[in-house]
Amino acid sequence: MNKTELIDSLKEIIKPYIQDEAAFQNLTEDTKFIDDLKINSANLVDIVLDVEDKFDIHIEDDAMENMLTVKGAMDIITDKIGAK
Amino acid sequence: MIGNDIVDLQFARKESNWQRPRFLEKIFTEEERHFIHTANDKEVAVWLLWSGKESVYKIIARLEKRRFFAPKKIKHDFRPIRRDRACPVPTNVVHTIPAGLKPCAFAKKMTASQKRWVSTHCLLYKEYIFSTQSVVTDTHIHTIAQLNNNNQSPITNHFHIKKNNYQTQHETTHRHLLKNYAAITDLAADELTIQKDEYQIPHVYYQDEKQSVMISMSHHGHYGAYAIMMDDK
Repeated sequence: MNKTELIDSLKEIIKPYIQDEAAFQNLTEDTKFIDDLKINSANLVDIVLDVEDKFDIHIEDDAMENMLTVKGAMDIITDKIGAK
Repeated sequence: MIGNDIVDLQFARKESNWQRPRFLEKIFTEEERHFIHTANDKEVAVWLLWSGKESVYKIIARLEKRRFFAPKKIKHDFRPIRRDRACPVPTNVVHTIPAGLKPCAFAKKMTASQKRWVSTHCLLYKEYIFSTQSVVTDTHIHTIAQLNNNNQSPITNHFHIKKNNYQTQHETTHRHLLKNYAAITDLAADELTIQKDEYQIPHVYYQDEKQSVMISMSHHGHYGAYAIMMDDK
């Protein structure tokens, strides 16, 4: 899976939780889930679970700490898929 | 230092499914899950503990000047409160708590007949010990967290917000806070603004001057809340 495909599947996952449509349209790797997309912090858990389901991976608590940005999520996914 | 968090229970019901597999395991420690599973009202227990973690996280983000997502590292301590553990008891919280409310130490006491109550907890993170105080009603939960209260009283309030879109929530919460701050300090409300720093921590400005007050804001669904600590270190 290349970078663009990865961002696209991430976008699909986070779309139901966003509260800032403009920031979502302009999403980059640096986009922050809470600060930019105004996602409720409780929904971060849903994003973690959705990512686990979609990519069939397990995200440990330590890795989850960085699930605050698009890049943070991409790094974790790439890392976990590579390790499979 | 203070932090605060509000949960709109009806909104949470719609936006979050805490019963989904692995949801509780990602957020709560084994002890916390036990607390939830043995509570009379499991849903309220989930959001009560979540709200405690969130309000404490806001203090930690200030202390460590970093953002992270590690809800299990902020743990509720369910041991009975003892003097040798020095959990700071939130004193004199200036809160809009209706008269006649009885504080209860642990939320297991909740029953359907108790429409409103106050729950206090002790939370741990690294070497820090926090105390939280939550006002729980059948529609919302508002939690104030404190670290080293220095005998200072936080000033706090929560309120209903008509529209639950982000912009309205955000503006209403700012307006309520600044109106109260203006009343306390006798400063002109229209000269006051709230600006976030590089760590997303909010500060009050009078004209261009940063005020020494510490504030915390929260909104969720149809509810907003804030806490103010004057001259906080």
